[in-house]
Amino acid sequence: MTEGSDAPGEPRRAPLVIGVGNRHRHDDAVGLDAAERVRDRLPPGVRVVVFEGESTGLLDLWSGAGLVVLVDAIAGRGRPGAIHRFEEDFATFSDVPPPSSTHGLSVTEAWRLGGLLGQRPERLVVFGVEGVEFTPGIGLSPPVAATLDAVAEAVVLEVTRRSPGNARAAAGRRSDA
Amino acid sequence: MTERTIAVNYLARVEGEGALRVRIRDRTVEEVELRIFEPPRFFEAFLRGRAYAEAPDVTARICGICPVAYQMSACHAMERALGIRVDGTLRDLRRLLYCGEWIESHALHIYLLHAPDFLGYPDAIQLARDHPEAVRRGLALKKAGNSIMRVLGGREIHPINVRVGGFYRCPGPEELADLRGSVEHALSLAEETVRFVAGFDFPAVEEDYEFVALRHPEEYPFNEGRIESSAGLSIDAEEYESAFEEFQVAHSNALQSVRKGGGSYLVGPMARYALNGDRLTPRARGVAREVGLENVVRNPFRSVIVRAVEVVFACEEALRIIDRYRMPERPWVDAPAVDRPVHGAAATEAPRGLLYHRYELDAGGAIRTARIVAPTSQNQKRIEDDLRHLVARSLDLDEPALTAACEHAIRNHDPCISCATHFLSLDLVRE
Repeated sequence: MTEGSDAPGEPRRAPLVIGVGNRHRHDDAVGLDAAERVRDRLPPGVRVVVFEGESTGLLDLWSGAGLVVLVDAIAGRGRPGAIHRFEEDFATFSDVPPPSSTHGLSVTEAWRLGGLLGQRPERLVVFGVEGVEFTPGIGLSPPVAATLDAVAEAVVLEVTRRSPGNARAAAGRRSDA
Repeated sequence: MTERTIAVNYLARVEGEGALRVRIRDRTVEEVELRIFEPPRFFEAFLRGRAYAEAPDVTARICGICPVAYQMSACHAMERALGIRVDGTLRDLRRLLYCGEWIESHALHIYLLHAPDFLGYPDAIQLARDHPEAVRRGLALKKAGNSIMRVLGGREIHPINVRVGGFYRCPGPEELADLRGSVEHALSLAEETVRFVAGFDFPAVEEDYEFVALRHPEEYPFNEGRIESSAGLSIDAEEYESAFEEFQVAHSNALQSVRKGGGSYLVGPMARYALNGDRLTPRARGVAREVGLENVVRNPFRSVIVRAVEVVFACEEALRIIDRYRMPERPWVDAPAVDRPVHGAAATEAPRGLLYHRYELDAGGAIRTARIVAPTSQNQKRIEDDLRHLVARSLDLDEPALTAACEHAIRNHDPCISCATHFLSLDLVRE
């Protein structure tokens, strides 16, 4: 797990962006790549975490946080590269690409477990990106790679849209780039 | 004539993909097959032609739960081939890394995979509904193990800081000191865990196991020792292939293992504890005694208590190493250039049991052959034996109850199918 633009002493309730996945299973890396892509585009204080660990680790990560925006790969819900947004409907969401380990929990299971243990954020928004290639190997498939900019844009908007000042700051940084 | 088939087509709460098929004809158990259908993974072939230094990182990829075991067995085998020895603080750090893996792996198995069997829940999430404190305890333990892995290994899964001869980087004293609080807390949680699991209901079963584990003159074994068995075997790892043989069965993509000229045997916590109980720390022995754990456990369902006692030990051992840590001058021992064909074999104790590696190197230091025998591979036949006995004494159970009992019996041994295929669904046929 590598942490990004969080500064020491930042309030715990600052928004948190988590990219989840496995870099060595092609499209399963889309969450990780999306998190890297938004790292420099978010308002100060927003934490970005690239999370390659086992999903029970998410409970400590998001427990007590304010808004959490999580990006992960999904399968079987539409065309490759399609972006799905989940919020209240997340509990019914099946986020499981072909299983690479049955020893760990899925993100959905971590969410359910977090609810039972009182370890949830105030609000969770999940962007699920439809993957097509989950075999061992590095690199996103062309349709998923082509959607990465749109995923990053959706994450930035999600984090900033409820805070107009932050949105302007984020937009300014984009135009300077 | 009646035939009954029990089929579990996909075993849950085990690592990897497998199934179970049991066929019963006229109240006789005719067939028990632990079917490992996870595809073969060809790691031994991938290693051919690679530089010897690559083996720890390549083999770590065999398992996301016990990568340290693969790194350790690979390093020790290579170091024996190269004629170097890692001692002192670097050796301590290897044991500390292994402590992290045992704590993390055992806590995961005890609380998230095995406890639901004993308490009558389909999974850990349902368990958390009624026993949130227990699941929190398990997750806190797991986190302490993960922290050790992260500090010493560079990351929690597939650590990247291990190399032949030692480590790429040694942690500063302050980095290990920062771990102390969480490991000390984990030690008290581990003792609570022993008491918690000792309160489960255990069927009155005894199996006649031949236990196989490392035995060290002074230590509860992680990295070193002779391979010993409860039947009197005592050999160096170099002699492993003279005492054990692997063979293919049609129903499994993983090779099975037996003692040459003998039958199945068991590796793992029960074996380690039976052969090394006297090497545990007084505190670990004390809590084992407090809950009435016998010196040799032959009831496979009670393996969960042994696993918990091993977590107590691993926490204590971690604290001992942290407290006496002085950063070494160099993070690794240099190896001489390879200028002739050499070979080396080693076995270390993965959380699930003995893990054997053997390598032959050519005159340029490239791997000519690799042989890896994982704990689950070695335990497969013994698990089938456990199941045969369980089904024979449980013939009057209905299908769901018998299926659940079989799955529970498999999880007694925390099988790691991904390692073994380098497994579960139950298929029960009653004829």
